[in-house]
Amino acid sequence: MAKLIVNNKSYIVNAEPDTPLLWVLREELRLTGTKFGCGGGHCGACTVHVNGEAVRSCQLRVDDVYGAFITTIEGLSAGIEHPVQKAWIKHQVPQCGYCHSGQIMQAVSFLRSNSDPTDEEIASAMRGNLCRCMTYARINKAIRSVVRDVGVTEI
Amino acid sequence: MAEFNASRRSFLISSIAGSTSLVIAQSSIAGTVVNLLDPGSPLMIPENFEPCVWFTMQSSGETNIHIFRQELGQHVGTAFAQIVAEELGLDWSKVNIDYPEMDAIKVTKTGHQMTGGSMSVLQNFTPLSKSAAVARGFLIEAGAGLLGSEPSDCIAESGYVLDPIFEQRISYGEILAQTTIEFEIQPEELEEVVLKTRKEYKLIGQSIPALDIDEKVNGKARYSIDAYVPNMVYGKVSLAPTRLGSKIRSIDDTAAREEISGYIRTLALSASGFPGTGSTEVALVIAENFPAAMRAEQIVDINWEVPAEQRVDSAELLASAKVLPTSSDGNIVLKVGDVEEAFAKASESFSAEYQTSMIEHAALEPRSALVQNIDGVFHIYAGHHAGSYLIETIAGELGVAVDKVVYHPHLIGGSFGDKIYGDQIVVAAQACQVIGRPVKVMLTREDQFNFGHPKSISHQVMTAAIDKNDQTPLNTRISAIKHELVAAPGAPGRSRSRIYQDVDSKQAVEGVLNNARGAVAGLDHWYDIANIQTKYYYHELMAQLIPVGFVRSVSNFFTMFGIESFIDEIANEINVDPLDLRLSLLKSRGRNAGATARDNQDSKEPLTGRRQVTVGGGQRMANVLKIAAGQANYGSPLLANNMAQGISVGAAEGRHNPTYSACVANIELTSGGNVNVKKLTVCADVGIAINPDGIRSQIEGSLLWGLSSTFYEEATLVGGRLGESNFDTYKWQKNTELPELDIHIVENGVHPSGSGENTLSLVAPAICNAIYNLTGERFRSLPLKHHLPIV
Repeated sequence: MAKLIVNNKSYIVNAEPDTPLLWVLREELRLTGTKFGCGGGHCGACTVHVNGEAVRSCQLRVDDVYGAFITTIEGLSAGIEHPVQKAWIKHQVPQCGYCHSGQIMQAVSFLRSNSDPTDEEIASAMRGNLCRCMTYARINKAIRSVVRDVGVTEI
Repeated sequence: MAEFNASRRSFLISSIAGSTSLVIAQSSIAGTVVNLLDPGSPLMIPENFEPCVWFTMQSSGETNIHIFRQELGQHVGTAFAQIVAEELGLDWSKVNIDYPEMDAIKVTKTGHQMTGGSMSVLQNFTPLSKSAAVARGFLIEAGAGLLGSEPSDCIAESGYVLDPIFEQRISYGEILAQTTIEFEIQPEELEEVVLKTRKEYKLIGQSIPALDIDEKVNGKARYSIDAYVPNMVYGKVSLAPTRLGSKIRSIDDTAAREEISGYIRTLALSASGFPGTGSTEVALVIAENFPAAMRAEQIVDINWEVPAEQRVDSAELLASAKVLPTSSDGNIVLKVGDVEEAFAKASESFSAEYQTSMIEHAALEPRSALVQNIDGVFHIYAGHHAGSYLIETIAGELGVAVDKVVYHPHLIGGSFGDKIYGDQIVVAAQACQVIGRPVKVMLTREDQFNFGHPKSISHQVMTAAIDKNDQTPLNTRISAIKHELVAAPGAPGRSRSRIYQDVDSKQAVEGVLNNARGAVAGLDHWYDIANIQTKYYYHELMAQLIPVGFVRSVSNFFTMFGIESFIDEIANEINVDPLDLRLSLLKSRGRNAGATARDNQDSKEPLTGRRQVTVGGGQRMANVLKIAAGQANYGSPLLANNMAQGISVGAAEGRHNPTYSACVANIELTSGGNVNVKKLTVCADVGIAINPDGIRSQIEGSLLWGLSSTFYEEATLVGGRLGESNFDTYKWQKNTELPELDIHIVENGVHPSGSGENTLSLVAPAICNAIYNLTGERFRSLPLKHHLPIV
């Protein structure tokens, strides 16, 4: 049986090998914080971490990530304690909120790899995560505030 | 136990005998909680205070505000909670919001609840304020009784009833732990109650953090797509080769039955997104899980009968729009004075045509629905703008009584009008009825494009009678405007036409306008022009091909693009500054004065209520235009050579809900001929700002939506369906090359108006006016990607 490790818990899953990770997370594990937006890797709503890297879970076959360490928005913190989540609240970023699991997972992964980004580097890292409410200005403000106010080791 | 009746009002306050401020008290009138470990001695909890359908107060001191408008990103619950908490005198830390279910009984208490047109606060501000104010009076009376004070000496503040004379107080929680207030607010009490004045506001006007943000950053928010019940099956739609008109001849699912584990069956169904609009046949492929449904849908063979007349492309669609103003009569939307006489007298005329494309909602959450039958009652778990109407629609579709359908609201992951439409809910309900298990239907992105309700294309012809003599007073140099609009409506129904004798008339002769809902808003602009004739031409072919819908800012997007481009074009023709020309025409004449501010000149207090939202009229347009121009340093000689500014002003969503707003766009031309928007300066007069940061957030989103629509967004028609099916081909604004957004909110203080979409439509004309000012190129069709780069 195939073992999936999500948020430091292991699950035995019973999905066809080519099933996108996204649908296993959402429908089988009922971790619905990760969202379906386009199914084609264009929008970033389904972004999760695999071994710390931000990836589009709609584009990954589940049998390719057995044994890997997968983190979803539910595993980022116990509640709303992660510095990036706190920044999102402080700047009142979400409107409908639907894309923000993906936005936050993307931002966390990016900040872990670049502790002092320029505005251009932020734009480049975040341009694949679409927000139809167009909260982009606040997303960028929140990311900059994390860079300014929080030590990178805490991210 | 003590009871007393207040003679003045019909309510009952019952004290709980021998109680202290304990939350859980023993009483014969309190509610019972069964202690499973000791069923012989049940716990008693005090009754909640529920004086109306809008909120419930508990003896813990917590108050739940019940939100019957759909949350879709606008934080409507926070705004409503601020309104209620203000008049009820609540401690904000003890305020919660919830989204109750809607059923046939509930709707008799709430009335129909439709979220749309940026009208939630506009429509609910006064009713919520009044209900809360009446309830506050009863809390004061009950609290005063417990304190031994005179009610008239007491006030309510931050969750307490205070007696300032004897310096004593009692919390709402303590009051409700010790008494039961059996009382339902009566209509006459709503009539009589006196509301706080703006000077007394403590919560309204504060940028309080939204109450629904936390769950939106940790994955706990429950959207429609997250709905789950045990034993549910999944449905994947299989759509026709054309958006409308195709019929299912046969379905062959042999391969799916043999190859797909978990496949159940495929149903031939039919649904429309909105009652009365075009109905579509749909095959629904059902399986035990969604991946199986997607796999099966690939190999279920559906034989479609496709009518040849539905196989239409964009070019033919636009051509059919362009001939309508000359080939048909159209219908009067607005008439002021006599345009024919004015054109006969005019020395010159000027004419221009404008077009816009279909725009998709492209909300990031595709539409979905879960429907479950429990003992003959169909439960809908979804996000929809109008649950009270939805239960009627679904009952009609299923052939059951309305009291057999219940709507359970879920958050919406972006709507912009998309979730006004319930095609997928109808399909899920039909399938649930047929197969006898809960059915969850989810649209993929491709389905969403091909089962969607994009904005209508538009074609406008505008002609003005003008006077180029600079000795003529500026405000009479446009003597007449003829305006013709071709578009299709977002829903069936009637609108109003209005005929005014002249520019100083306040009263109109009203008529009926058919097939124009959501197509004509914004045509009735606020410029004092002596003679106007505005006609609407129903684009029937558009409606036959695509069930077009209400998309953010709806028709204001194209009517304001036409009007605000045209006024700049005229300014150029008669060689005056476009700001000066606009200000000369915004003098609040006749109907443009807006609603009456006071009953008579001697009245000290201005009139209040929703009808007063237009008080000030054209003068407020002039004010916001001046503020935006000033904030943007309009006309500054310091602007670089490759930069320019353009302006626009408008009052979307229309005369029923105007947010008077103006925009200045600062643009830059790159060496390659592309246009960068550097800054958008916006001033919006929202009447009363309930939550300024929330409004700012809505305006930020609206402006970038406007930018996205101006440059990129276009859905094309290819063979009777949309040519785009995902975000690789349907392009919109990403998190890159964002302009600075400089937003200024002003308030005339009378009544709040909408902020969700009202500034969106300013962006396209401001940018096109700026491009003309910089390059001399006038772009009269959107999106601009077809015109750029400028070579």
